[in-house]
Amino acid sequence: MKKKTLTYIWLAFYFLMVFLPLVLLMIFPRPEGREFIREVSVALGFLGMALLGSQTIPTSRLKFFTKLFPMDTLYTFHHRLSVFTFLIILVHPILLFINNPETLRLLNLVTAPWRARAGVIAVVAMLALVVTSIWREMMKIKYDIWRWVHDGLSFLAIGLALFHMFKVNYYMSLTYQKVIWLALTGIWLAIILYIRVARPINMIKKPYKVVRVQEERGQSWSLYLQPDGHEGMSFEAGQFAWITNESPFIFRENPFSFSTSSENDDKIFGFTIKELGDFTSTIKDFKPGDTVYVDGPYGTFSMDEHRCKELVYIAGGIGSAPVMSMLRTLVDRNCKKNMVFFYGNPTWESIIYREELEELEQQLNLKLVHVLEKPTEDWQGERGFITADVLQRHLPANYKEATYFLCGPLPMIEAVEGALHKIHVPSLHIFSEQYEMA
Amino acid sequence: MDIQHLIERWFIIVTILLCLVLSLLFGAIQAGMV
Repeated sequence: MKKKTLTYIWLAFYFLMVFLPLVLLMIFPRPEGREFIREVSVALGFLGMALLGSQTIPTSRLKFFTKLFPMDTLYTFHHRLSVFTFLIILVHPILLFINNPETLRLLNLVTAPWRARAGVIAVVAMLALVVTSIWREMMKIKYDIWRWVHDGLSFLAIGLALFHMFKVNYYMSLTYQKVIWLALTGIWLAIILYIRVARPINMIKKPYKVVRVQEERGQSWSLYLQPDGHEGMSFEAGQFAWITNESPFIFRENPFSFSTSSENDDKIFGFTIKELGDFTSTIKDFKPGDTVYVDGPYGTFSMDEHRCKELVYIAGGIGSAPVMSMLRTLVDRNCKKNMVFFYGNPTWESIIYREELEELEQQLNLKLVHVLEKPTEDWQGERGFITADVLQRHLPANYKEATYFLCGPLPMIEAVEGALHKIHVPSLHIFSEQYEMA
Repeated sequence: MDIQHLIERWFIIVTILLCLVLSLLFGAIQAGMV
């Protein structure tokens, strides 16, 4: 089936999961209606519940989703829709209080019935979820601890919200509504079981061994792995995988782009990782023979996914890792396409793969444009950031027909996308991937 | 903005709009306003 068709099918499935219970309520016979504000509140409660449970999907890393949507897009869906879900769930009781101020007494957890207690605690759990997710770094919560907190609060919020809905038992008294909500709960539970049980088991069954660790420029390290007792995995240049050297059940894995060619026959693949945090600063201590667990490949940031005439790569710092994978792959494929690589770095010394890129310039029809933020005075090349002017100085005349791959931190991607639009590069020709997802 | 992020933005906007429209419509139907 075509990728576009599959995308529409999954979007339709997602909308069905969120809106079907309410739409069916509108179509089929139902209990008698009440005041307008109260019924709007109920509808928001139903939609909030469906959206809350559906948030298990975008970050589940289910292959049929990650093949269709870029991972950073899925995470953005999750972040933004989670905040919206919280807001409509919060509006649900507020409208009830406005409609009948006497219902404010349901906030008293000592005297309130269990259905109200469950609802109140679910909203508090969701508030904690949103606060700890948005301000995690400001609150100095470590990532792996936050993930456990996030899972615990999600379980609590979903479980209590469902309990609240079933106990209120007004529209839920309809048999088909009970069946739909039980089915939805089953889907959410199956996804959670897959994420938390099935996937870690699969990772343990297929471990990898460290072959070597190589120091690169710019405080980066290339980590090379080979499968240990299994066939390994094939990936497309530009994709990434989640890796950990601890038990996959600890859920402390981190995403990194493959930096090696996807055409390797020896099953060895590698990642280039910059020292940016707790885990990344331990890469240099990995020893040959150490066991590493890999979950992947993921991502749609791949030249194999799109028809490309001419190629333009634009990367900042360690964003060059997936670009390097593509360039190395193109060498293995003996590709003769014209390509330009704009590579932004702070200094000449911090340019990762600097020497190899010079070699690739000879092996491919590649034009390499270094853009340095803090160059020395005698630097003859481009200075500052990758702007529209810099792009126009080096792009070929038919640059509007080229395919653009952007990888780097979000501010850089946004700035470069703005520059590309300024010079009228069609949006359909631009593909991007940002570093930070979680 | 590239095509992926355009899809992402529209998906979110459509979800939010449908939530608001459907909840108001449900309220109106049940309150006998339509």
